[in-house]
Amino acid sequence: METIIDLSAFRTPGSKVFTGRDRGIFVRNNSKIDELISSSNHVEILVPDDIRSINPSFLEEFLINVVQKLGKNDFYKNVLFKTSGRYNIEDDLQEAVDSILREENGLSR
Amino acid sequence: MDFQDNKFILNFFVEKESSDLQLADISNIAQVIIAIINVGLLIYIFCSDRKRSKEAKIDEENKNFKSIKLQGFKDFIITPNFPHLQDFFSNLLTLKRRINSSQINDELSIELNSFIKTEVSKFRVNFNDAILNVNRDLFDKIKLKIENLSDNLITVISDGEFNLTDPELFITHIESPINYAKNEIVALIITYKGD
Repeated sequence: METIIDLSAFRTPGSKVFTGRDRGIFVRNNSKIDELISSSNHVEILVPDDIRSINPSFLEEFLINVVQKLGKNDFYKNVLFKTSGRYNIEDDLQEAVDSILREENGLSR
Repeated sequence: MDFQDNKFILNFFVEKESSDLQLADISNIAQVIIAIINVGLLIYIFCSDRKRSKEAKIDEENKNFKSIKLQGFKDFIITPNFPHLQDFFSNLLTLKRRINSSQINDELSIELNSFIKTEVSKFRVNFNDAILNVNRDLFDKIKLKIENLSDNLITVISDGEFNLTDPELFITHIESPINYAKNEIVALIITYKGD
């Protein structure tokens, strides 16, 4: 079963970016991504066409529980971001996923 | 001398002897109590001195450890990596010549955002990751400052509310936040005490 989360439902009116940890927590809670990933095999996340950036700070909070639950490989297999605009999310997504996993394993934690 | 007189004299001597005996006992008991108190005080002073010197030794060891850690932090992390911190902020200031249009279109915005994120990533790898294994709290504080800065710069550039080719607006929305973040991070590093 596949579930779709449309990020356009969670954007700040007039803004072309998703940034900040607070926003990430807000979208995580309201999109219920943590519950959806438990009940579905795949989650597809739609990025609005005119978005110019989704920052790692936002992605880290939005995806933290999912990444920690699935691990890196299963995360990329089961969570798909669909973008049709000029913005390419790959680098930011990789930065956020690596950051979640790296800091989880930080030696001084 | 009759019988009554003899009884009075006998009582006088017996009572006097009994009174002398009580005073001697009290004096002896008092001396024993004083001796016990002295011994107690002696033990207390000995123990508290020992405890104090033990605490002073632990405190001294902690201070030495902190001092060694702080020196190592300075020698092996900050001194060799400080140029990366300076480069990061200097590179961000090149946004002034990179923003060459009053209307930032999608293409330019994505290019500028990508430039900022690449610089943030380089800074993390070259500078902040080294701090993660020394002090998690300091790492988090620096990370948050950098994150807030890049989020603000990317929002200002992407949302296109301001003409950033205007020198005053550039200073307000780009240059000042960069310099402010730099000063805050330098202050965080300087005030780190090796805890």
